[in-house]
Amino acid sequence: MAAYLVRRLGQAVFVLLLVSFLVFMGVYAIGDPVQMLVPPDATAAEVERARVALGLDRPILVQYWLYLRGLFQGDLGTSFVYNQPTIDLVLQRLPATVELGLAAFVMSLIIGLPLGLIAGYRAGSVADDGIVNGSIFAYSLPNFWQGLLLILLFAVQLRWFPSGGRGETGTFLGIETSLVTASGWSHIFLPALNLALFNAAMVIRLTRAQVQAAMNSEYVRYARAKGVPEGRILMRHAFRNVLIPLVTVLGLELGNLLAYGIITETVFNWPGMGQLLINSINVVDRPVIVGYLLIVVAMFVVINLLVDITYTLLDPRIRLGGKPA
Amino acid sequence: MLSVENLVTGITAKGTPIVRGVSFDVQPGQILGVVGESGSGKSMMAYSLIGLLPRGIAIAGGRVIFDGQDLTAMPVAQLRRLRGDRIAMIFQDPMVALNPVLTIGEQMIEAVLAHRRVTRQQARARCIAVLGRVGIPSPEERMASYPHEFSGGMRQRVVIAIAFLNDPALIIADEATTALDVTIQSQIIAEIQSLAAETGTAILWITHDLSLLSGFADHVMVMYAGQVVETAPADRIFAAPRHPYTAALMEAVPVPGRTRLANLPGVPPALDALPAGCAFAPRCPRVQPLCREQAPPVTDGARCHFPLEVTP
Amino acid sequence: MRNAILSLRHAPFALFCLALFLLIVVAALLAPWIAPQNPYDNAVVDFFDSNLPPGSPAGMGGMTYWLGTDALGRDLWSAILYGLRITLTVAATASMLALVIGVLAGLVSAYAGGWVDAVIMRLVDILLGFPTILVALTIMALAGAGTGNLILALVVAQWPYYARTARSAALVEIGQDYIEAARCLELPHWRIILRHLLPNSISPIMVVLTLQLAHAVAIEASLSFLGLGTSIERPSLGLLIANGSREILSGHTWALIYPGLALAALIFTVNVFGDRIRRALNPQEA
Repeated sequence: MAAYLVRRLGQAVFVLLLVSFLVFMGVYAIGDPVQMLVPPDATAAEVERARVALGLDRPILVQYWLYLRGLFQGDLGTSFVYNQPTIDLVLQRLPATVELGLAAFVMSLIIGLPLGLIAGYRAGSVADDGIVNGSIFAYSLPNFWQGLLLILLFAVQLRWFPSGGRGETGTFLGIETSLVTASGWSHIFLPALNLALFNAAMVIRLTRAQVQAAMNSEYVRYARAKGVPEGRILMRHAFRNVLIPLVTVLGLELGNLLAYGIITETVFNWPGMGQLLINSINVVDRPVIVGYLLIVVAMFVVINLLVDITYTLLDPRIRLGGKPA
Repeated sequence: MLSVENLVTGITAKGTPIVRGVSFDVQPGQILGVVGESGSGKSMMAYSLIGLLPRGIAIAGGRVIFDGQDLTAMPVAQLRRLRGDRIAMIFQDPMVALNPVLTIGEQMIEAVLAHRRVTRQQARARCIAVLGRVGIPSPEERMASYPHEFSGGMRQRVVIAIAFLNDPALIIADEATTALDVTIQSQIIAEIQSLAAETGTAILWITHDLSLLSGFADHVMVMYAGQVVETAPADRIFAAPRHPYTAALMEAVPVPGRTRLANLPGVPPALDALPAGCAFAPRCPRVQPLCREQAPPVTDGARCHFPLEVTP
Repeated sequence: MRNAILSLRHAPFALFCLALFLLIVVAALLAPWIAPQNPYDNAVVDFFDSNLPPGSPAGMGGMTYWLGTDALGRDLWSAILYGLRITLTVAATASMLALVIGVLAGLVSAYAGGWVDAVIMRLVDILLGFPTILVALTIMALAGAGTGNLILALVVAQWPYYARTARSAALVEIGQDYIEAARCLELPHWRIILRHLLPNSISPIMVVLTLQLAHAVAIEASLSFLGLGTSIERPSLGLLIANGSREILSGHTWALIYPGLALAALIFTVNVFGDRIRRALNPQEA
């Protein structure tokens, strides 16, 4: 187990380094980085001074090394637009993004797990058909359009929820969050639903397939032969086996929440990291774009690592050094 | 105690029969051996008894009387309370029957709690006692183990312990020792025999290996193509089989890695294309023209037009 | 593959979706001939007709705006047909390039083995570790908007799916005797790869193609919606929706709903059809 962890951590560090290298090369291959890093109205002398100050007159590998060293010190450059360190800008926006992702995550489970359980338990029934086709439909609706329809229906027509923005925030355990105010809840509901519907389709598919396989398994038949009540068979025997692959998919889902969150934040004008990225792209604020990408990649690597570890902890066959059957 | 009357089970959609009118009785404490090749309908017969048939297969006729009640007419909830309590089952392969991600303890305790109003602690104590009885060393610690941490023989002992947990009146064992090697097989059979004698539990022992039943079963029932072709007390059937199929089974020397019978060419007939007359006729060494035309009557426990002579 | 297509006969809904998909493709191809207006021709588009509801007559006469007009006065029905054309062109071009690159990489990876395989597959694994949309978005963020970059982004994001599938299909064949025989005969490597390995990976690749094509359409639309896609003068469906969404609070819903419906229909029909083929090819997964 310890050896596994070390190996897995090594892989994570490798991916981070590789991506940072690619992004570095990507940014520096496209144009003169000095032109991107100095204000557009700089004079030739100022450009030259910046080039030396930034170390850009040195060999490319040395530059990469300096850049890496900056990364380890949390230095991701400074935004031209806000004139603030990139890292601060991104971190300020982090709570809003995390809170939206969390709300969507919980919502997708609330929607997806019961429907997946029903579809898998009654595989082949009318209810199952309806749930499966419904999930393909939900999966096919382009995320941003679905969000706009939600606004049209619930905010513009019915006026049940506001059409965008984040509501009042309060402080909970030292973290600023909108999940402690009524206005916060009403603002987060639609964007969270928008993000959740897409992922719920994935949760339904996986839960259904796993439950169906489990219900046809020999151990469920054996549990029935022992006289174990159906409710316990479904929740303990079948569901426990669903849980393990589900963790992998939930990890994927967390990733999707981060990625599709960019779109949802734009649609609902939600002041998170994703909206910051799109705004920065529109005004070509390169340091913020690069900083954002690196932070998101780092988050991904950490999520993938945590998923693998949880997976290992949940399955006794792997946990105890055996091979999964 | 258990009385099966003319049980018919088949594939619902096509109406293909799998079990074709099987009748037998089991007395308290009796060990009844059921023998047949794979596809003879012996397993489906067993699953019919306790209502655990796979989807698409259902009982089409007959009665299963257990303790004076007809199980085929019993509501599902009531049947559920019977399973694992009064009638327990041992499956062929404990590796797939035990849930790989739950501990042995949990899988045992749930079997007690499904039927007894006792505390978790009491259920646990009962499980540990039975595990010890079937020869699991340090049972208390093993309760926290997962199935894959046991050897094949130990896993089968766990499954046997689960069967005996609630002192059932009847245990149905479907190829319970087939997955084990021969020495462990005989050990486990000896243990089941002594446990059954101790608790007065009757056993319905299903196997494809007739030799296993000698010295173990009280009574033997031979199945072929969904029917009982011969039934007799064990000592009688081993001394002098009357049906040619039983005789063939008896002469068959089990060859490792081969499921076909060495001295009996061919395979059992497809159930949706049964021959007219005797189902065994196409493979029977003693076949006569009559056998291909008329279904044979049952005489002296053998379903045969021309049974073998019993030499006195 | 043949059987998979034949099995569609027993799936009327999937067949209906296939027909609808083909209808959409034909309509997009014929856009210049069947659209009542050329929405890119400023001489034809009447700015005074902006934001007209569906069924309004054109101010200068001569036609009826059956689906209404957008904020620039373009006939929405025509704009949708032309937008579909752009969306489909981008998605299809990108899918084809991704397919060719991915399949070749996968086959070479499987055939060569060793460090070539290790390098290609490690790259594939890393890319597959991130959602497609994020990979595409990263490329767009670094490279800037525009149709060419959009296609590049989709290709980079999608080739790993083809590579993985082609590789596993090829690995099954490589164990076979006839490949060994071909190697012993010292046939050229490219010949073995194209003549023997490629044909056997076609069915699973077709499944990936349908599902990724739907995905490409969705991503193209999403990126265009974010302002990172096609040019503003020639809007794809995603950009049409983005433009329509600006009118959302004033209650002009048609410019948002109709392009979205066209987009959703396109993605849904491909998905249903693709899902059906997938299940027909892998019955155990159904």
